[in-house]
Amino acid sequence: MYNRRLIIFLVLVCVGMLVAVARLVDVQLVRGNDYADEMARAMRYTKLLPTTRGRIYDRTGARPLAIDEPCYDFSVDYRVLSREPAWLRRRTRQIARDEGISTAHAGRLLDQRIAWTYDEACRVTGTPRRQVDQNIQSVIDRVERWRRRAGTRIMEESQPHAVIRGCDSDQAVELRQRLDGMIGASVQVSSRRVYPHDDVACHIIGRVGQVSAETIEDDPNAGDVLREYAGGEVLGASGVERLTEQTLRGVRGRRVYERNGGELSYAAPVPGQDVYISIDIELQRRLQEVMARTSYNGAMVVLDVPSGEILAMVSVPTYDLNTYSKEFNVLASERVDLPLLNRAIGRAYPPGSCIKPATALAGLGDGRISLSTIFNCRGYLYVPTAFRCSSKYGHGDLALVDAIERSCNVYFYHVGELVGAERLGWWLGQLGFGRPSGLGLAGETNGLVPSSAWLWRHRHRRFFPADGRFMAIGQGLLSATPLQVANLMATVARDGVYMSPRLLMEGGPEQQVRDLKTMGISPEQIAAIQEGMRRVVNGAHGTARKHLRVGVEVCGKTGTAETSPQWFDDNENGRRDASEIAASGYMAWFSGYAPYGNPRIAFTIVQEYTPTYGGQTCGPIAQQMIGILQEFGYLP
Amino acid sequence: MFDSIKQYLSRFSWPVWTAMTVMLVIGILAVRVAESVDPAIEGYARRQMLFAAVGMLGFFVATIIPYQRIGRYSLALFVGTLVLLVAVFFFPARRDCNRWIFIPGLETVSIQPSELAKLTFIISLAWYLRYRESYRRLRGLIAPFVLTMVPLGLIVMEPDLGTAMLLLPTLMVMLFMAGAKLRHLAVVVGLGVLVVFAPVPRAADQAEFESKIDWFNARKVGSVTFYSFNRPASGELSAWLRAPRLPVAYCRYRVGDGAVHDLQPLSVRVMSAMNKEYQVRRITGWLRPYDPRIRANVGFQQLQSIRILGAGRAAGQGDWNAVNTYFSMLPDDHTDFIFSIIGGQWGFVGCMLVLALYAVIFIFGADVAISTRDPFGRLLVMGVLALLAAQIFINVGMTMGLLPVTGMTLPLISYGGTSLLVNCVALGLLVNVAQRQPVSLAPKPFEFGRRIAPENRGRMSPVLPPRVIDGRHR
Repeated sequence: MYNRRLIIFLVLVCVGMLVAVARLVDVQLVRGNDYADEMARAMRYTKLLPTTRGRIYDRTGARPLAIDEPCYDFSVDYRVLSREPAWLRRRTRQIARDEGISTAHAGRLLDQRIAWTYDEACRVTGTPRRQVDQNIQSVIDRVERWRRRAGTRIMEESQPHAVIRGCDSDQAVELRQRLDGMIGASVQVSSRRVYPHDDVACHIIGRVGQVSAETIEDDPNAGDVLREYAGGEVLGASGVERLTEQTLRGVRGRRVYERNGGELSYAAPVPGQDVYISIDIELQRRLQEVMARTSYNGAMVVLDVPSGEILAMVSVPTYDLNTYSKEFNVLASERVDLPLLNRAIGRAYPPGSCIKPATALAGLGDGRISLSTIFNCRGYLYVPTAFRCSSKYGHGDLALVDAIERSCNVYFYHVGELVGAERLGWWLGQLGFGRPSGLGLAGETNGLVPSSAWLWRHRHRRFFPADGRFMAIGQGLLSATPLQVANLMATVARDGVYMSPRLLMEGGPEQQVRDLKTMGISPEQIAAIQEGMRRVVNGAHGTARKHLRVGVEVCGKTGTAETSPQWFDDNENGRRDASEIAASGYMAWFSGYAPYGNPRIAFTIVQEYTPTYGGQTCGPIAQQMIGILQEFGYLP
Repeated sequence: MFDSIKQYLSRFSWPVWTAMTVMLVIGILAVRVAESVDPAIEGYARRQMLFAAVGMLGFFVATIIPYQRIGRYSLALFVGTLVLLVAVFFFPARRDCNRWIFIPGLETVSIQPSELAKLTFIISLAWYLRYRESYRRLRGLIAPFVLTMVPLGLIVMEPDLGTAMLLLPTLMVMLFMAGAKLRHLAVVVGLGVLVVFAPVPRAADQAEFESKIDWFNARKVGSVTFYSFNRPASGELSAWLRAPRLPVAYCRYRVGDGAVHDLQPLSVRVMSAMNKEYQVRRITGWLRPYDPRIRANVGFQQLQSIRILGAGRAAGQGDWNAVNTYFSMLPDDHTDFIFSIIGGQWGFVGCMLVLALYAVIFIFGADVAISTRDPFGRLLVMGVLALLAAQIFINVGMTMGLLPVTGMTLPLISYGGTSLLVNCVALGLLVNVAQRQPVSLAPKPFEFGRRIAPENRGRMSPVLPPRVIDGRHR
């Protein structure tokens, strides 16, 4: 029995040995290479070196519009931010052991010190505590979202996260002196985007924002450690910052170390490339000041005629790019003035009479009218109650040049009727209406040029003759952005050559060029339209003759579009109650180019919800604008 | 005098001594490897050489004193050990454990009574069991178990779960070899398993617990959901070894009212109730080796161990300085995880050599166990072998990721004076028994296979083993 049991014991030992040997074979012989690789990998560690974002310059190439400036971030470990229970317990026990106090007491002490950490940081940097709490919450939300996406514990859960950004060096020194008493806090070198021109061209330059989980998901560079987005990074959120993100963003550097010393490889970070935009920032500043002095919101676009480059593109009200994040809540809640909206491209207005040169081009191009075609204006089209003209008693017999000079609606009602809405829409499309301008900026609207298909889908009807008439005078369903209208003026100024506007001095989307003269429009016809527009300002009957006295010969076109008031259905009764109307009036336009004969610049000015006509409202603004352009040498 | 030396040498068990000596040398070399990459243990190889010398001395002393004489002092030894085990609690704790006795101010010189307890336990138990057969009844098992539970309880309280758990397999093997009935042992083992693994509701805060679950890897079987484990890499030879752990790890079930209950093993529950979070985490780390959360902290040591072991491949790293710096990233590499250092440094060949040396000891030990006819000697040898086997398998299993991490040394190789001395002395006792095999006319002990008449069942064996085999004089 003893011997038998001894054999059983030995067999058990043998089995144990065999299991051990089998496992050794598995671990060392079968998977040994994997482990060796893993070990070699673990023996080195990689440090990613941050790169700097490229600068944005204006057209002179000497004036920076957006630069990266070194600063300091006050960061706190995520486990403190999220109050991770296990971590807190560990720290509590540690404190209890170190200080020789009870665990409960240590827990209270830890809470106090964490609270003190935040309070002290707020006090030193002058940040409101609420702001810090918000930042903490957004960090937690962000990390939680990533964690859920990853499905496992992620690195960010044990890293410091910036709670107060952009501290200057004095604050950093003061914070560093207090780090000993703080829990999980650190001061890290960082950089912040600074906009030297504050609110000038804010809509064009755009701002940077935090990388979001969605961005990381759609990252075109995902998998490339040096290029892909990482949490807590900034990326262009709007404007040129966003448009040229891939250019501005640099490539990170990488340093690979060996655990026991040596450096294995080093790749220097590649700073982002600078971007040059066609805006003249000083011109923009002056024009913005002019626009800001008016009592209405609005937009102004100034184009360089030969190249199609945008010299200035103003939208008021503006906001300060440097304080954007602090003021975001206020800015976003301004639902009447919409300061974040870039009106020059982001809002479609009824263009009113400013569209008339385009209507004339359509009529001439389709051969529906000629330069000698005469329509009689009685002050109304057929009946006195509908389709009225601006002149109460009528303009009498008018040819095209006179009709443009006097902005006669009746003449263009006839043109619209003859050309038809569908065909008019096609011509407007050729002139850049109803489609993207080609700048590539986010937040741009196409405006609306209704087609029969669009009308059928959205209004469930066919075109009526009235649609053509309304479109011909820039009312009805038609809407356009100021940039599109300015580009129409530039097209007329270039003798009928359409060029899509440009914002970037190099790179960016390809510029489209179309010559309308190949579509059946003769140079004489263009010249006639130009002559009509010259007379708008300089003629005896021009709609803007009283409002614009400048040294150059300006060609222009006024516009006064009727529009529905801006209202908010606050009580949700579906009716427009008087108290709910925020703003009402005309959309006042003045567009044109200068000088006549040798056009250099084309422009558009829009004022929202004005009580007065286009020439009256925008003429003085245009006068100042021309003066400033002369001062800057863009006009003789 | 000369004759006795000649006799001593002729009966000396050379293979066992050779195996032991080679392993001591391997141990010194392995500690030197660990030392070369970790400045914190500078000079440990030198000390290990000293310990090896002391161990060798202990081995020879244990062979010279006749083992029967040692047996007679077993009660005193046992009580003395218990006193030391209690005394441990009056010394300051190290690493949160009261395991060591040392002179305050001279911390480097210390002894570990739990290591001594292993030896005295074997001697005492063998001495206790040698003439009895009471343990062939269920009730008779109580006394040996009490004998075990007293030191075991004290060691658990230190806490040194690994060493404490070592006593149980040793006890089982000795009872088994002494002829205890298999069904009785099975009942005891069954009870033990039941108590250790009985599912009880989870104690932890529910919300906190929920937040830690890796629901991505949860799977549902009927109304029970098993969760918090990642699928093992396919094609892994040992994947099946982990599979049975999963239901034990955690499971949750919904009952009719829709309430969610979480279960955990009773032992884990008890340990968490006793605030032994350290142990709980070690066990959960083993239960869920592929949980990334575990991997990052408690499972780290074991994962590192497997990595280093595997990276040794067939012939080892060879190079002592470059990549082997990685060894320093394995905590306890010179003590509990010395086997992975051996694997990393000398590869599969080194590991197999170590296992082969242990096999030599088992084979010759078994030979001694068969050839000796003294009941005390038989049990003593078996106790020594069982103790060695349990230590080896727990330690090797732990370094290879087959068993949870417990503070267990690899006998004869790991750094540590007390452990080395105790194991050398144990082998000395084994050789001692081999050298002193008195001629006995008595029937072989522990041969209970013969049928006993029903009226004689439960009584003493009809043939009494004569006292003389016990004595100094024959």
